[in-house]
Amino acid sequence: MQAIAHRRELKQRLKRNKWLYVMILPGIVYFLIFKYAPMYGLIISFQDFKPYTGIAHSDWVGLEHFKRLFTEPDFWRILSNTLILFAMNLAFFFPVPIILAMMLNEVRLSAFKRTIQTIVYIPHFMSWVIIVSIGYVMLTMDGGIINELLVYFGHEPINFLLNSHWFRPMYIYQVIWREAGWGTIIYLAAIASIDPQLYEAARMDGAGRFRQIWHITLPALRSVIIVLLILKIGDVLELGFEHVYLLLNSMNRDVAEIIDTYVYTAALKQGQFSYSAAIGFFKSVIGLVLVIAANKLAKKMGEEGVY
Amino acid sequence: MNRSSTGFRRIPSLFSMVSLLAVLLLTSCSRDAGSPRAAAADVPSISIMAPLHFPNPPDSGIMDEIARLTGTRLDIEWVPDGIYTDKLNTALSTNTVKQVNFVKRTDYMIAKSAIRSGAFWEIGPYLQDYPNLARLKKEILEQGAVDGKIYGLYTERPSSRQGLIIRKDWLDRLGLQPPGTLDELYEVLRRFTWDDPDGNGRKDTVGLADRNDLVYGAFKTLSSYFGTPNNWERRESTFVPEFETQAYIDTMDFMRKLFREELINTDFAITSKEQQRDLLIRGVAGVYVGSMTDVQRLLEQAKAYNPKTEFTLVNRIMGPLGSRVWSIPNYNGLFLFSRKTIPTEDELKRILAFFDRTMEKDVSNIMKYGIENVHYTLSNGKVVLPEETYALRVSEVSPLYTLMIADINNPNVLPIESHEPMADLADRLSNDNEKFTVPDPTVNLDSKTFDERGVELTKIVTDATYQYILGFLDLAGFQDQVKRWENAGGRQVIQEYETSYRNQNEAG
Repeated sequence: MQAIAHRRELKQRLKRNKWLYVMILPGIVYFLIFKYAPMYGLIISFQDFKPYTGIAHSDWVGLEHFKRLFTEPDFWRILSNTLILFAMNLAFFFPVPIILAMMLNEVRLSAFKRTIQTIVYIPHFMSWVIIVSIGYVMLTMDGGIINELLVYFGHEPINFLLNSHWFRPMYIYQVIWREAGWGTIIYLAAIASIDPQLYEAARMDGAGRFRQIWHITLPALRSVIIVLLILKIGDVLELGFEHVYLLLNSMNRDVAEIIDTYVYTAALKQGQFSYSAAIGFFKSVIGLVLVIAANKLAKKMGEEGVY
Repeated sequence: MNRSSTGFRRIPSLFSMVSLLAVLLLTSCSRDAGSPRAAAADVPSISIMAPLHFPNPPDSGIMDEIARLTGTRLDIEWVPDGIYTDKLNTALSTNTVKQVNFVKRTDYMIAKSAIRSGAFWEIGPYLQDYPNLARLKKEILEQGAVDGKIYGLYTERPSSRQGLIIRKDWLDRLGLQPPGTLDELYEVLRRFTWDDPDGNGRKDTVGLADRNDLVYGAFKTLSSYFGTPNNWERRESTFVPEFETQAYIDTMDFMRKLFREELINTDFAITSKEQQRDLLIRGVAGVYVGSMTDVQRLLEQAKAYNPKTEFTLVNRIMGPLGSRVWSIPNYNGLFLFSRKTIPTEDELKRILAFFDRTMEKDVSNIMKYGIENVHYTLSNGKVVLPEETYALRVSEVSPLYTLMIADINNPNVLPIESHEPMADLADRLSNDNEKFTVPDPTVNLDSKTFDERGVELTKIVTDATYQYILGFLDLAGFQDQVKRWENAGGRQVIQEYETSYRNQNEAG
């Protein structure tokens, strides 16, 4: 009896909200086709996949590829390189767009503000190849401007490109240079939506600029920051294959080899698709775990989270 | 001046792209309209993927001529050489190969697993049915065999073109002779760096220009001079990798010395081939170790920058074991025939017949030299390649050389009477190299581990070698890395080579 009633209720609800369901349909279809269906391909990480024989006829090997990954002598080094780079990304890159957005917000002269905004966006549209090449030309020992300057000021030249100590700072610096400006967009939009009356009231109470930022702008940005942080953590292992691969060389490999570059050199270059799929699978699992953890944490802190 | 020369090179490539587009548009229009040109489209075609070593693909006039002679239209996807490996990898992984696919010898291990899964036709049994293909060299075919079966037609290359390209005008200015020993080479590099060989009163030169490649850069060739084996040394029935020999260490010490004394471009570990060539072209560096046949193009470009530039070549540097140079197994790549895109045996036979046809006199000479009286002239039945047509040949004919199978031992290809003096010298010295080549003893042997993990394993040693040269590792540290190589699969590779060698010797 109850089940029938339940079903009837469901039917009614579907009928009542049918246009809402129709509207959501394209989104569902998109996720089914482009996100869920391709997961079928994960099967190959349990197979000895050969493109010519295809998924249907390749041999099943079970957890062989995962075993190989976890027993690989370099595995822990690569995993820790990935996590360190990610942590540095969070610590040094993530706050930059927030600070930049608040600084832009304080600029009075509108024309000046717009010019600066445009200028800081531009690097985002350059490919990593170009940015890394610019870095190379500036940092090279054979006549790079930075080393020329160091020598001019009586300092020893530094081999930035071929020294493993300089890889991480160089990476973070280039990420900030390219992405910081672009990252301000969302924060600027959030700042624009703050009620100006709040600032007026604060001024009446005698709050200076820094007090206004601290007590109004930052709290207003709080939820945006947390959502972006969680999303960022979801991309934990997306450190930009292209960028890292371009900076990678024989001298800095012990700190610069990350999961993505390892997949490329060890697996894809040698046609080992199953192995690369297994590593990719592993990477996604880490990402998922971290997102869930971050989301839980955000909720504990009384925030909304992403779901 | 330099800029104008690159600009000049870019214009024809733009033209060719426009004309290519025009051709594409025309053919697609004609196909749609069913106009008289559709008849020409009925000529059977063959799709090929091949690397392009030059700025633009060969002239369409020549391609038409080949189509007329062979009755086959070639539908070639030219992929720039620099990205060819990636492109091939993508094609193999997505199973979107052309009918005929060129695989470089150095990428062969990527293709092997596809071959083993049955993606390509075994062509061995068919070859005897074709007059020219039947005459292909057995030894070379077998070097490219997988599990004893022949899958590919080879593009033939001299076994070693390695040598030194040296600024002759710098040698003359400093009163030096071309080096004949390793000590003399060191001396040349030292004086090229410190004694102002370009005479401009500034210290703005460096001896050696090297790049981020231990094989085709300077290192491997220098290591041959020091007496290092070519990849592997066979001792009785076991195999020793080159980096466990003293000669390899000596080579690293030599390079380390060059680096410490700044006789080499400091960033050589991350220098690309273009940058390396550029150092020579701009007159920054005076010595280049690599393929001697590059000299002609280097010279053309360097002359545009400084007309006084002169180069000379050296191929014999005496080391502890005399003159030696490493060699490749006489082919630089194979054409593989896809089973997916060549569905029937008849189709395969048609395509093999085309390749057989390209070895005939008319087609092979067009592919190698171009069209008579346009690109070359004949004198007493021999080919004369005038210097004036050099640029024309590079832009219209040279890319086709990639498609020529087995040209060196093909009697139908006309001999050369004369061409540019430097290219001539490069050819003569390459022939001289034949007298003292050091072959790789494992070319015919199989190692599954190497096919699967070779890239990774090689990387360990490559990194360690660079780190040693740059002074980040000492000898003990280097040897630790070699141990790491052994543990990561190197030991298995050795065992597999031993087994494979035993099996071959018992069978033979």
